[in-house]
Amino acid sequence: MNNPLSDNELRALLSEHQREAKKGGVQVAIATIFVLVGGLGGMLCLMNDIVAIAAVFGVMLVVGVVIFFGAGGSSKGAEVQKGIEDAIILPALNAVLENARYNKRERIALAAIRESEMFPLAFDSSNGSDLIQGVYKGLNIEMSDIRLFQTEEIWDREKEEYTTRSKQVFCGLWMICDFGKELSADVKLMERRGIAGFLADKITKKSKLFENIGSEVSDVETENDTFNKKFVIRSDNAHDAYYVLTPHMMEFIIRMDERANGDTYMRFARGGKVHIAVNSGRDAFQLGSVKDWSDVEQMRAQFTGEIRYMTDIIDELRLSDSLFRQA
Amino acid sequence: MIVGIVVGIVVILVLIWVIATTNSFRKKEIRINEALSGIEVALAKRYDMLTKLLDVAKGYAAHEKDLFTQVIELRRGMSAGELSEKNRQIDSMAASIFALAENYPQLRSSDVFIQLQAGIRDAEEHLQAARRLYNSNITAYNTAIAMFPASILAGSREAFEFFEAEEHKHNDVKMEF
Repeated sequence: MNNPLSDNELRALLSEHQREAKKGGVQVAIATIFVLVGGLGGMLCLMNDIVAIAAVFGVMLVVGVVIFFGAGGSSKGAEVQKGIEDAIILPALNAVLENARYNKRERIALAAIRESEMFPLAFDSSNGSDLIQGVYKGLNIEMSDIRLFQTEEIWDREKEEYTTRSKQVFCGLWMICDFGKELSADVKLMERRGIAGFLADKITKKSKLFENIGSEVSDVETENDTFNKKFVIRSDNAHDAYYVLTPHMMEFIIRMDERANGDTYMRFARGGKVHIAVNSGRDAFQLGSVKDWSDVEQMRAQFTGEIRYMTDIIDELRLSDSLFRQA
Repeated sequence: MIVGIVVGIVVILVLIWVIATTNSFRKKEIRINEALSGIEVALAKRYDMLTKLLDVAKGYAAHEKDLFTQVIELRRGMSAGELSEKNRQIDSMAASIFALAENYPQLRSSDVFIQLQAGIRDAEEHLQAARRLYNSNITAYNTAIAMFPASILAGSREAFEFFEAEEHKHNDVKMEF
C-alpha cells in the first residue's frame, strides 16, 4: 500500500474532483442547449428557406457538439478512488481483519453463490464489486456487493422475434465466513415475503406461476413465535436447526434483519461455512455520490459502520462458544 | 337424492378429518420419541467427554478418590424424568471435576484438558438443542390433544412430561464480586 494521503490532502483532492465534476456538468448542460437550439432552429429555417439564419444555427449545433465531447468531467476520478481506498478503506479493514484484501472491481464468484442454494428466485447472471477478504478472530471471511439477474425471453410483436430481457432479483451484500461448527444437515433461513411478496413475484414474472409454491413453508418451528413468523427455516435435521438457532442467536438475527433494512437469507452449511445475504436494494459499500465526498470523517464512519455490521455477525456466531461454558 | 349426496360428502369430509388428525397425533408422537432419543445421545456424549476428562484429571490428582469412583448409569429407553435426573447427576459430576481443576493449574493449562473442555461445551450445546427440540415437540403435542375438536379424538392420549431444567437454574442467579 502506498503512503496514504492525510485527511487534509484527501479533502483537497475531493474538493478539486467535485469542482471539476461540476464544471464538466455545466459544460454538458450548455452543450445540450446549443445542440437542441441549433438543431431545431436550423431545421425550422431550412423548412422556411431562410438559409443564412439556418447556417448560424448550424454553427451553433457544431459548437454544441464540440463542447459536449470536450467536457471530460473530472480527470481525478481514479486518483480519488485510490485515495479513498488507501486513506479510508484499507486502514479500516486492517484495523479489524488480518491479511485484509480489498478490490473494488472483484466480487464473490457466481459458483459460490449458486452453491449456497439459499436464494428462492432463479437467476442467470451476476455482477458486483467491493470484494473484501480477510481473517477475523481466526475465521476466514469474504464479502462483496452482489447483484443477481434473471434473463427472460419475450416475444417482440414488432420485430416478430424473441428478445431477451434482464431483470434484477437481488442487490445487496453477500458474505461467506467460517462457522466453526459441524452440522449433519444444512440449515437455511429465508425471510418470509408473505402473500403479497409471493404474488408480486408471480405478477412481475420474477418466478413462474407454480415455482416456489412451497417456499413459505418451514420444515422446522422453533419456540420463538416472532422468529417463526419472520423466517422460513429449512433443514432435514431439526436438531441441527435448534443447535444453530439458540434463543440468543434468534434474537440477534431478528435485530440484524431490522438493522439491514432488507430481506435476509442465511445458510449454515454442513462444511462449516455460513452464507449471509441481505437483499437491501443498494450496495453496502457505496460511499455516496460525488457531491457527498467532502466529509472525510463521515465517509470513514460510514465505512467503519458497514464493517462493524459484518463483524457483529461473526462475533455473534462465535458467542455460543462461551454461552454454555462451565463456571 | 341431493340430501343423500350432501350427507355422503359430509361423512367423507369427517372421515378425512379423523384420519388426518389421528395421523397428526401419531406424527407428533414419533417426533417426541425421536427428540427424546436425541437427548439420550447428547447426554451420553456429554458423559463420555466428562469421563475422559476425569481420566486426564487422575494423572494430576490421583488422591481424589471420591470423585474417581463415581459412576452414572445411562441406559436406552429412559423416560424424560429419568433423563432429567441423570442430567442432574452429570451436572454435579461436571461441577466437581471443574472445581478440582481449579486447584491444579497444570491440569487446566494442558492441551488435552483444553480440547476436552471445548468438546464438553459442544456436547452441552447439543444437549441444550435436544432439550429445546423435545420440549417444543411436547408443547405442540400437548396443545394438539387439548384443542377442540381434535380433543374428541385424543381419547386416552395423555400429555407428555417436559424435560425439566436443572433445579439451580430455577433459582435467582447469585452475583459474587
